[in-house]
Amino acid sequence: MSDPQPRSGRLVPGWVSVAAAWIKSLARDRRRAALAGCAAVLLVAACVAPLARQDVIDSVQFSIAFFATLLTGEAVIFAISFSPSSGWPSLREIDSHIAFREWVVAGWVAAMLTAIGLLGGSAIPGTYGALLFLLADAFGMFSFIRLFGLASADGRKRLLCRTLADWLARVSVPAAGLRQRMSDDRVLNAYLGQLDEAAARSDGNGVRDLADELAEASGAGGGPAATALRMEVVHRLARAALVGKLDPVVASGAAEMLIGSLLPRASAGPPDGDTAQGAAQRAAAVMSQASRYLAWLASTSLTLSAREVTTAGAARELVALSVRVRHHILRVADPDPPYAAGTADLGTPLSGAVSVLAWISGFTEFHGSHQAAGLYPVYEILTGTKFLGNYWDGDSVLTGLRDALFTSSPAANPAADAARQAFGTPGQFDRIWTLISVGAIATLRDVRLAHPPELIRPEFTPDHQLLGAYLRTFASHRYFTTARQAMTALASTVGHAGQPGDLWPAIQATGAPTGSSMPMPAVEPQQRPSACVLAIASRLAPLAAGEPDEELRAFLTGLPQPVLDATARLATRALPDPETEPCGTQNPADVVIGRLRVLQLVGTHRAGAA
Amino acid sequence: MTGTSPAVWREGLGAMTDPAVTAVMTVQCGLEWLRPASAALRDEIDEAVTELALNRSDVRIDRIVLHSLPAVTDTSPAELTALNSAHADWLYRLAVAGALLPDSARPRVHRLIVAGGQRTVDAVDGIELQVNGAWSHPGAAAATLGILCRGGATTPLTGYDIDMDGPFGDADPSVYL
Repeated sequence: MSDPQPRSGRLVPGWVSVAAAWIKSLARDRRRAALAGCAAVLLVAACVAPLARQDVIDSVQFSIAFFATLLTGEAVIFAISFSPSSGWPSLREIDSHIAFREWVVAGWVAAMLTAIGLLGGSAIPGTYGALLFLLADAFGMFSFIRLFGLASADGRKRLLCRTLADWLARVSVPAAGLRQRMSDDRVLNAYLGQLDEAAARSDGNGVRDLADELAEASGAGGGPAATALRMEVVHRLARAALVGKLDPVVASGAAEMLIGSLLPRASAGPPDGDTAQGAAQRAAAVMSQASRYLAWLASTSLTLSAREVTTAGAARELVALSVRVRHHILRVADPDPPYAAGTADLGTPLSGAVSVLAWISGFTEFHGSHQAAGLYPVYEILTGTKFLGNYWDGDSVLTGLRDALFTSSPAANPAADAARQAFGTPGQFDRIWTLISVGAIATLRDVRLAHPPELIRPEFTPDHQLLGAYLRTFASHRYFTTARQAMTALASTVGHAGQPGDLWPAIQATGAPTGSSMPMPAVEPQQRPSACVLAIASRLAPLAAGEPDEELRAFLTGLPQPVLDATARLATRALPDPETEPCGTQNPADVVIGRLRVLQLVGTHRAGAA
Repeated sequence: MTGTSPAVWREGLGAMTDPAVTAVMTVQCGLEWLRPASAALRDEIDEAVTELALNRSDVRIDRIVLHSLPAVTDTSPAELTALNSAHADWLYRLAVAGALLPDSARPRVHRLIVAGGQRTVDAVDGIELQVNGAWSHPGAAAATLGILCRGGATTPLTGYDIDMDGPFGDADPSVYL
């Protein structure tokens, strides 16, 4: 039996391949190229003017002494500045920064050549070794100074920022497989590991430093990986505050800084080589993901606090963070916010139907604060004019938007023309908003959970009127009036797949781009059948007391029992118990109709004033 | 009427609204239905069938679609993934749309079983209408009925495994922590 064919890799010794890789790296590493160039010049000098044996010995004695001094100095700095278990910065990062390996190898080669020259009585190797020692000492001094720079916190931070920025830029391209590359990446894993470690130790300064490094590293770029990593870090900090030992003030401060540092990038103009549309869609992705995550965080904090899994203090900090930053995002989205500190606050990074709808789709999920107010910038961006009604009084932004775009005397300006073109038909407009409302309704908070007073914030309250106002922003968008038409709309909501180039897939792709890092998966509307039914039913529900509910009842009673039961379960979870609902009501249609009376709470103050 | 030509199907969908129609059979087993170019027509057919079911509970509607894709060897892996994804999405939408309709109005959707290694199916795409008890194209209708009557040839599409409540994370978002 013959031996198997030796693999080609075995023919080349390991040191040869290392040397070959080192030589190849000369082209892109100026430091190594300089070292190699100096070594070559010194070789020529050694050949042209070799030294006497005693001169070589004298020179090398001094060089070795200095070499040893530098080595000792570096060892001391290492011992007092770095933890041997630290992965961030890892020894590899430090080595590549201070050129430690090049320095030691240069000294080793010099020592070997000197010894060979002295033992063999050959002048040229001995001379070359002595000269190389001088070069190693010079290089060692450079290494020592670089290492001294790392001994300070600022120096380490600069190195880590640069390392992180390099790796973020490296893994960002191509977009496909970004998550996999990020989870496999050694440097990003080391960073996240260090963050988890600092959070587990409740090391506030460490967490803040790591967050600062990430914000600075991705401030200059980093692509989608930078956004994904920031959201991942925000999530880890929130988790550590909710179910770990991390101080919630530290977690919320670092999370606010990280999300806040994303928003200026979102509102900046398009970078070179990018279109305005591409920049708007990237901004929409950042704003949508951040809005959706923060709404989820507030809802989760409330749930865990109610279950006494987390402390009220931690939940309060995170709820406050959510409300505060979502309000900030709303101001960024609003082309003409109510409170502008300067011209920088005017204008919006969002433009066009796809980006603005992607943002509002994320902004309205998980019962997010200020979601009704979020429809005002949507109206303004899509129509080029302001909506002058008040949702708190019961005015419907969506009906106004539909009228502005599709009535017989529609708004005539470039923004409205573009929006009309993007929607195509009123039917498509209605369908898109129904799909958006499904996500919003499905993820409303559980009203049965007690809302602790300490968690109450503006727009994060157990107030039924506010919940009614949020629901009414969608429910007042009425494009059918009968039970029969409602069934058709329901069938279209779940059955219409559309084409890849349609508006809805574009909205979804923009709001959750490839590689986005969200703990909550994106859920298609048709995967939420009960929410689809409730979204349609709410559009038939009476908006004022005394209005007939026959069509709503006919629609609900026409549904199969399992569907109606699931809808009643959702209504019981998400909508408040009406005071008029008799105890022990069992009929699910009555439950849904009763719960939808929350819509009638909106504008009651106006009726009272009248 | 057979084939996947939009004109043929639109003609059939238009004729379907005739009050004299008493039964409808559609066969959509070609892979073309799963490609983006056919998505609009596919939606149009689904919506027209649903509309008919809602308006005329006395009309019997049978639809035949693929249970799974046949062994396709002349497509790239990426294209095959896209086809499988479109097929799964379509069947889910048919199932959930059917589950939301009243029992009396629900179209009967049959999934044609494709044997392992089978490269083609014997069903011919088309729409057949029964007017006043008589099929408009008896030969094609008999072939389709033959598939439906053959034991083990199809399996019904039901909504028994559809979670009407949606993902658990909607009710309890903390599961994503």
